[in-house]
Amino acid sequence: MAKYLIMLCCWLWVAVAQAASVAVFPLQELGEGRNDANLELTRELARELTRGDHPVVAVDTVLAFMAHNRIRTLGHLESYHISRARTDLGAAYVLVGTVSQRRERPEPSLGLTLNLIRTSDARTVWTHVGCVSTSEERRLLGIGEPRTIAGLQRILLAEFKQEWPHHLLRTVQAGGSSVLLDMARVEPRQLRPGEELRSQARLRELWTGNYQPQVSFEVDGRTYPAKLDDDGRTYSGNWPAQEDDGSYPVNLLIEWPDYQRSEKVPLGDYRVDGSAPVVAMELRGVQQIDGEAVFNRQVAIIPRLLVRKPLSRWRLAFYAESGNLIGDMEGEGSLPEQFVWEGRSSYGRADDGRYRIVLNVWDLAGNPARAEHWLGLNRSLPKVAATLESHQDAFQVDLSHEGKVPLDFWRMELWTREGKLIVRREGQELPVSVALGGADLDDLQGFVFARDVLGNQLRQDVRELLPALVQPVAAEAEEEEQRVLSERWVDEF
Amino acid sequence: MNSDTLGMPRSSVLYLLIMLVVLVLAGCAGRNQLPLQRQMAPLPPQPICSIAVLPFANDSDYLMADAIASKVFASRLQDAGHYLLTQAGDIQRAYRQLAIMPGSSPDLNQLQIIGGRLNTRLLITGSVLEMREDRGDHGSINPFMVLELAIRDGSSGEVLWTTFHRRQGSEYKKTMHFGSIHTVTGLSRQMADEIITLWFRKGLVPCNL
Repeated sequence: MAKYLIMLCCWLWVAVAQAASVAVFPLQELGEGRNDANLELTRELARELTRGDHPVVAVDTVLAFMAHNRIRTLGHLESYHISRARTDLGAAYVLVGTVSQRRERPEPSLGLTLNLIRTSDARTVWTHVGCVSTSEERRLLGIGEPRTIAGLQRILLAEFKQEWPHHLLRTVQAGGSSVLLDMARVEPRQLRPGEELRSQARLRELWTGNYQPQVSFEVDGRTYPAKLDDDGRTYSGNWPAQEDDGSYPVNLLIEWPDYQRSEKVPLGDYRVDGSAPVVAMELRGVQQIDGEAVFNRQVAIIPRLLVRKPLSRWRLAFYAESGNLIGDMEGEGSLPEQFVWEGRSSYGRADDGRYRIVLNVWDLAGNPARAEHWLGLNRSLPKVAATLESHQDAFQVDLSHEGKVPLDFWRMELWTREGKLIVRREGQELPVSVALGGADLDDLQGFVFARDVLGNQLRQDVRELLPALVQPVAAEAEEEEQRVLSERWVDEF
Repeated sequence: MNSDTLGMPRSSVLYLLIMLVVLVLAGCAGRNQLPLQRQMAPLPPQPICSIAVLPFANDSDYLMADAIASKVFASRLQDAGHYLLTQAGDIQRAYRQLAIMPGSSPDLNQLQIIGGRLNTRLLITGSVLEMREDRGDHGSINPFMVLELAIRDGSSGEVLWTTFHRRQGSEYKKTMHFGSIHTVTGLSRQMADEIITLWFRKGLVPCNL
């Protein structure tokens, strides 16, 4: 039952919303002169239309309109006034007409011509000529014959009602306002609760003097004053956004107290959004060392919106451990799929150290969100130390790792000067001791290779790594040189 | 019935019957001849949509005969042809601008100006030559009207077609008192319909806009 009631209400609403309003102008009555009015029949016609569910502009309002526009003649209108009826009265149609005859003697008779004019183009779209007299209404048995003008008028109204073009009036644009706008602006379209909203509308029509309408902005059942600009047709206003999230349509409310008329013109809508977006960052290409992400060449920063919503802008910034900004980038709209940082700052190559990455985003309403991450940059080479130990005739090299970044791989190879391999060892962890046996240290050549988990690589000559291997040879050479010099000096001496 | 009882020969009765039929037919033929139309020049090329029905002149003694006839005629023309009829208010303004007094008819020069200002293809002028309300049967009114219309070129004002029509309400009587027209408005409507029907038959085309 409730469903049918709702459907009936909807149907009635649509029926009323789709009907176009009609302004019934006072009927001219041709009698002794051309400018008599028949207000009684005019009001009857308006009442008939109202009974037929047609919105009708009140006759008194039409009279006020005629007075304001100095319309002194009846039965017809100039195109200009027809157009004004649309803008001032909101009438889609005007009905003008003439009582062509109305007399009691020698027999009651009544004649009426009506013209229905569309105000959008000032075109006559329907006409009606009605006439009736008691002689024409005679019946065979004489029962129910009208004998007075009032009786004839009822017949004429019934005829009018029957011929009225309902179809024409129902095909007018549903709910359309007759007030035309040259410009409408609502800014911003998305904002946070309590922020200031600005709206502006310029009407095409210009009303002057006492006919200036009272204009205000209407939102969510509340009205806000509109200020008229110097051009006489632009209205501006501002008001704080609602506290509750949601979409709010803005209407321009135009009222003409003299005509008891008000028009509501939709200007647009705005959305109040008080919920901030939720953003996070994921780092790829890093190693977790002592609970902290560290990289050496490049790191991929992948931003993620945990609650999807459109963004207006974003900013990615890098800070040194001291808090100094070393570089940033920003953009509008959605976030890129990923950022790649190669360890560069705005002044060049960034030093090894700890950095803070901060990602800020703002949604369309301006709600901010932030995500940050600490990140270590380490480009230093693995640090391998070696010591040479001798046990009787055998030698042993002890290798150890002194860096903070764990090693991924290491290798040591030693040869004689002739290229004979003495030892080759490799592994993943240090320290380790490598026995050399009774190798001749003077002939020893080779290298130590190490690569840490970040990919930093070290290849170092074993003679640089073990200065002890070089010192005896150097001492011998010096001794030899001194000996040669001494001998030469002795010879010369 | 025997013709001898009427005291006249059979041939005389036959003659009277023939005369009666001829008279009836002649009467019908006479009625069907109206309205009379005369074409001075062809209408402008089709389509014709913008038409202005100018205020008629009143050469009768009936007060407001011109207003009744012109308003009814404009309404019926609009209804039949869906033309873009110039609003009567705009026509009145043009008359005021040219200082043409109510009841006066514009001359050819003024018609040209009016046609130009109203931007119409055709102008329709008219004159109510006679309008009166005679007494009919049983105290009823028997209206009588004589109307002359002209279709004029909208730019030159020259007459293209003229139409003459004359009717009285009792001419439409069918059975007993039924069918008769007892109001000048009703007679104006009937005559307007007959004139418009004739115009359509002669080549005026309704507007389809």
